[in-house]
Amino acid sequence: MQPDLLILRLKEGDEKAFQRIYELYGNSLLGIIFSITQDEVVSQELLQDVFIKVWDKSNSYDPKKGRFFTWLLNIARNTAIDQLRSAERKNKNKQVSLDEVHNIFDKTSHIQSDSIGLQKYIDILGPLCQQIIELLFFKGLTQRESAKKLKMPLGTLKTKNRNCINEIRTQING
Amino acid sequence: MDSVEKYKDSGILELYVYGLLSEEESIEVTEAIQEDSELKTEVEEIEKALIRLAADYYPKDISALRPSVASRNKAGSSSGFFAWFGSAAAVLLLIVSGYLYFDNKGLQSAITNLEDENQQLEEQIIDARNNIAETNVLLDSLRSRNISRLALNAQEIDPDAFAVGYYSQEGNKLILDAQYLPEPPEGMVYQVWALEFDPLTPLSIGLLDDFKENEEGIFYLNVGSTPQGFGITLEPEGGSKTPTLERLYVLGQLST
Repeated sequence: MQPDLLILRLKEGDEKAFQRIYELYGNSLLGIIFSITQDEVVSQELLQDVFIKVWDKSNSYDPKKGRFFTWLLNIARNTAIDQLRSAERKNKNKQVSLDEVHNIFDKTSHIQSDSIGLQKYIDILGPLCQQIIELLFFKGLTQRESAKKLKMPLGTLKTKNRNCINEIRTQING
Repeated sequence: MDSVEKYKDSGILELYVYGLLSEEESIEVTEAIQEDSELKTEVEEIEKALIRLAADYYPKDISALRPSVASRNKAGSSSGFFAWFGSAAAVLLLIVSGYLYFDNKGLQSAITNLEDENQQLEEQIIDARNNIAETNVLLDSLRSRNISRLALNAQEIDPDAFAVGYYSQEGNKLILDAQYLPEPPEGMVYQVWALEFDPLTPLSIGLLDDFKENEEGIFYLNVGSTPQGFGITLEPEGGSKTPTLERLYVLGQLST
């Protein structure tokens, strides 16, 4: 359910509404940011930047164009990607490429790999699902780019992606 | 119906929540889900799963990280805004009244959501009242005379297991407080036995079937015979004819 009233209050500059929105979506956005930066300290700083943008720009959210969560998601991804690019500029040796498939679900690359939270998804999602969700959802690569990376036709990617999300839904509701 | 299924299966709704559709496509989906509650529910379910997945990706208490926005004015409300406010007021009023008219729809849906929330709260209150009623019944039974309390103590298999029984000889009933028994593994169930000790004669008085669902861990059991004590064993689903003593979790004796 989309918290329409909260969004309305946020747009009016209600701080309590802002706090509640932070509580509702903060952890998810931190997850998105961290999946892109893979740096705990940086991610926590960026989370604050993201929410300041949310506060400043809340009037630009247009429900006709999509979900509020999607709007937040875009801000979080873009903030993290911008940071990554500027870090890349500062440090030429540190090659960071967003569009590469790293398998962010991979245990070794994940700092919290022993948390039950993530483990349950690793257990149910095969490597292909993990990559699809990484590219499309976490990193927000276009369908076309993702299909190319994963060497599969667009239609297949969409269907597979839906099946992957269904797996997660079963896990969460079951 | 069929077209709704097709729409769902196309995978477009997932991409909509990801934010990967073009603006036109997104607007189309927004319109489609406003017209069809099934599609709307589908989108909400997808969104819920994604919010959870992302939150689980890096679980952390973020309450201390919340930025303070108290000193930040919302964009557009600087002092410059007030300077031309007067002259623009009339125009604004016109726009605002128009906006308000069209926004009415949005408010109405906000009200519907609030009503939903109210309903959920009401349901919680009803649940709470039912719980109180149940608790009162329990209290009444415990207050009655001729009730003996017995501790069912841990056995070798699990030194932390513990249960308390309240046995009413009058009604031949046992109220069992089993909240300190560990959750039984998949495919296993606790079975309660009324016992006579000399010679040892166990009589099954019931299974704690709904152990997981029973949040309070209080069970009401009918006792057929006149027992000297009670024991609880872990048995395969459906229970056993005789207790498996290796899986005897707790045991207690009635004082005579």
